[in-house]
Amino acid sequence: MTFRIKFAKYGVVRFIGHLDVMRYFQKVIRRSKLPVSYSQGFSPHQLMSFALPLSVGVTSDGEYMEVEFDDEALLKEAEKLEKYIFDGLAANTTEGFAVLGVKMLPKPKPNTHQDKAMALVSAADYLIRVKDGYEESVGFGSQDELYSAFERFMDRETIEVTKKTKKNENQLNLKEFIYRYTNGDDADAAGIAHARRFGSGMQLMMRLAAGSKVNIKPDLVLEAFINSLGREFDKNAFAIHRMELYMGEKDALNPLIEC
Amino acid sequence: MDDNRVNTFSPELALSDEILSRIDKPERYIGHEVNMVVKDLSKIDVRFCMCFPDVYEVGMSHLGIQILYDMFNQREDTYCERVYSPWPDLDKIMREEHIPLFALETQQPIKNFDFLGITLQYEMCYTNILQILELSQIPIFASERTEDDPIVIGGGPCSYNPEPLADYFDIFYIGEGETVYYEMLDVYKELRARGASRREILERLGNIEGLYIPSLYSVSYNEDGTIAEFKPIADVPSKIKRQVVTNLSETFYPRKPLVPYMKAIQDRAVLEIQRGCIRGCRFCQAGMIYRPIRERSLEVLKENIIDILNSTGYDEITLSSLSTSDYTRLGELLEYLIAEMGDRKVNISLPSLRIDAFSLDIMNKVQDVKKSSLTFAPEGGTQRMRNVINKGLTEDQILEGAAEAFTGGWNKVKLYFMLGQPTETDDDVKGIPILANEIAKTYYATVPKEQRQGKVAITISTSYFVPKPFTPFQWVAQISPDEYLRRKSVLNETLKQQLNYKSIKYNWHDSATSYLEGLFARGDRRTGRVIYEAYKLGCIFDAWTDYFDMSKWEKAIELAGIDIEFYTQRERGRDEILPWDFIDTGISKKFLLREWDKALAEQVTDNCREGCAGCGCAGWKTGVCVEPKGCAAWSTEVNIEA
Repeated sequence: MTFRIKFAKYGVVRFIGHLDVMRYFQKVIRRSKLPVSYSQGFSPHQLMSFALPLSVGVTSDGEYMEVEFDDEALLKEAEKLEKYIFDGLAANTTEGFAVLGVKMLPKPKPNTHQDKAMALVSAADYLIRVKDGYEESVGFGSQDELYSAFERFMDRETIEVTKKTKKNENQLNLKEFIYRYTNGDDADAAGIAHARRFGSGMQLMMRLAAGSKVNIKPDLVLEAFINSLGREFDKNAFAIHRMELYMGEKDALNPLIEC
Repeated sequence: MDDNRVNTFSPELALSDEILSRIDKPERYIGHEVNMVVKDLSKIDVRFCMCFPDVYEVGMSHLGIQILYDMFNQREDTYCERVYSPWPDLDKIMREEHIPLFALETQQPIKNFDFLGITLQYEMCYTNILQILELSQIPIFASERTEDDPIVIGGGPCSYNPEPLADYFDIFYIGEGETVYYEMLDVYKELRARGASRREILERLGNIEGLYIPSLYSVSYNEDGTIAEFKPIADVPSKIKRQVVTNLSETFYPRKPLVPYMKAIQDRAVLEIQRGCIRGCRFCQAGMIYRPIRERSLEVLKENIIDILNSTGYDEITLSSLSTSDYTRLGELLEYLIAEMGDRKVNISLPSLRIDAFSLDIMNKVQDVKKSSLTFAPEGGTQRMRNVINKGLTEDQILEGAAEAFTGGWNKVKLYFMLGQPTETDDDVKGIPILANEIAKTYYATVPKEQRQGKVAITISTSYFVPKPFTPFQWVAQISPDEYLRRKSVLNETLKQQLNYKSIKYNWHDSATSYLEGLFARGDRRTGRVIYEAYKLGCIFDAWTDYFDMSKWEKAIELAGIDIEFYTQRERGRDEILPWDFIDTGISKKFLLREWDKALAEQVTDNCREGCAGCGCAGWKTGVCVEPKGCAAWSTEVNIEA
């Protein structure tokens, strides 16, 4: 059976790349001795998949992976399966990673295709904070000034930007993909528990389209925002923290852990 | 276990986000790996930074540092941290922004440490040592260091001739690290508390067995450039005794090794099963300087491997030794590993196995169905040559091993040889492709047509022989780079005449780095200047083809006023004082000379289990020297790597 696992990535390990995070969790699971399932074939690997990869340098309280465990072995071990897996993983993660929740996924009906977490993701919440030492260069005197500038930016009819991918460049209206934004004061405490803190208190929260169809990175929004003020964008000025991943339609989003 | 380990996560990094986001692989510089040791600095007396002077993913693969890291950190009063060479992208930024080189654990500058320990694994990392010193803002020359600078200490295989590095180090530790480091730290701590000067500390440390303080010895030279005299100029011993662990089962071994986030070169758990080698190949420095062979007990190995897997989560283990097949209880060990690892879905990798029915059977059990290539290391192409180098291996044994492997389903074979070993003739060189052709013939004779999965693929690799200190070949002349290239061509031409030449591929090692290696392997103190000049000309990461620039080295040799041929292509006199003669490895010069004579007479010497050759190591009364007679005696060696 498959379990969806929510975890945080914080502190200095924000510089660990996605592939190495996968390798890290493979070792966590080996250390935990949880009865993970393996693929068939010459070089069996753990059946594990990750939702939306996190960019290097970004922290998160909303990371997800799905891991398949061996039914028989698992049922022999425990009744409260979610707790059993949570405890096994939590005891073996090291600082920089924290297991936040485990959810057992319903068995797929026979002959139906079950989407992996990656395919379900439709939106993500981000908290963006101005780093220490960049208060002056970003050009806002205060949090209020920053937020009202962002409100004015969002008041535009359209926000045309060019999104570059490996293959091509696309014109798109960014406004359609910014689902929500606030000054961050109402942010769910759990979503920002592992975010970095800075002196200025300048911050923004935004909910962006995410996933395999359209994926908007906060940098793209910030660049358009700062450029709209006639200033040069310096990505180093902002610390980005992912708070949550959602599935479902724009108007009916649900956190992945509430599958 | 000590109480000073704490669980606080240091969020402060030495490098800014801005720098970390513009360099390649920032993971190299942030530390905080699984099993990293964290300590409360307020309770620490001695700060030691251990350095592998190459890039992180190479350095993190080194077992020796893992052993010493664990050993030092078991002391309550000591905190051992690590540093690796910053890659050229970061090197540039650190110079521009005057960022001092820092240790991974606390991310604090190394210049504030008590010790900087640098492992010397290969000559081509010497410029990286100067890079480490300079970026750390520690004076490059030991003579310019002040009371505030760390004591810079070197160890590892290249310290068996430390002289080219003499100007850059305060101390060299000669031999295995497990023996006198604790004593060194105790003495240091005591002297420091008394406010002793650097000079005083070094003199005292110079009286600990195995520690060599180069600044306390002077060298004078004859007119012909050879050494006239080497003598202490302070109250320190005239000979430095190599350190040997006499009981490998009762010493340090990390049960919680560091696990890097990024993929290191060695991405697996390492179990060192023994140290030393019984074989006595005459070109091989490791086979001499780690004598006598000493095994870790099976019981200790079993405990260690389970602890290591539990603490790391690795999915592969490898056995480390110079010759796995010589471990006397290999059968039992493998039986245990196969049973334990199968359940855990852990792969076993078995390097340095002799190819025979036993090892092939084992490999069939431990490795999954895909058959990767097998490696044989005959080192010499003819029987005559193999007798000279004491590689007691016959053509029949090689072909039988190959036939066994082909029957077992392997069809890729790698063959390792050296060109330029003493007395080598063109016939010996031509013997290499001829032997490869015989192996190809064996394939077609052994495997019926319908069972063949494609052609047999044989790869010949040749390296350029570099004579090393403390081997029977320490006196011989290295052949010139031109001669090496000529012999390479002879090999290649002969290869083309072979019936199966289409199944045989030939790779040869570059000549320039091996020639420089030859300079430093047997260089004296004067050659150290070359390293400095090369570094000043911009040489770093010379072990990396992309960064190696021979023209800069040629310039450096010229600037240093060194005649490279004097060091590489000159045969030394038997009575000559060699730069490393002050080190007492326990192996007598008489034995080395006897072996050199036997090489010239094309005579082989028994391995340590067949009969004692009287090398001098029996004095330690350990390992093979005290094994009961009649232990497993092997007479052949072929390496397998699958």
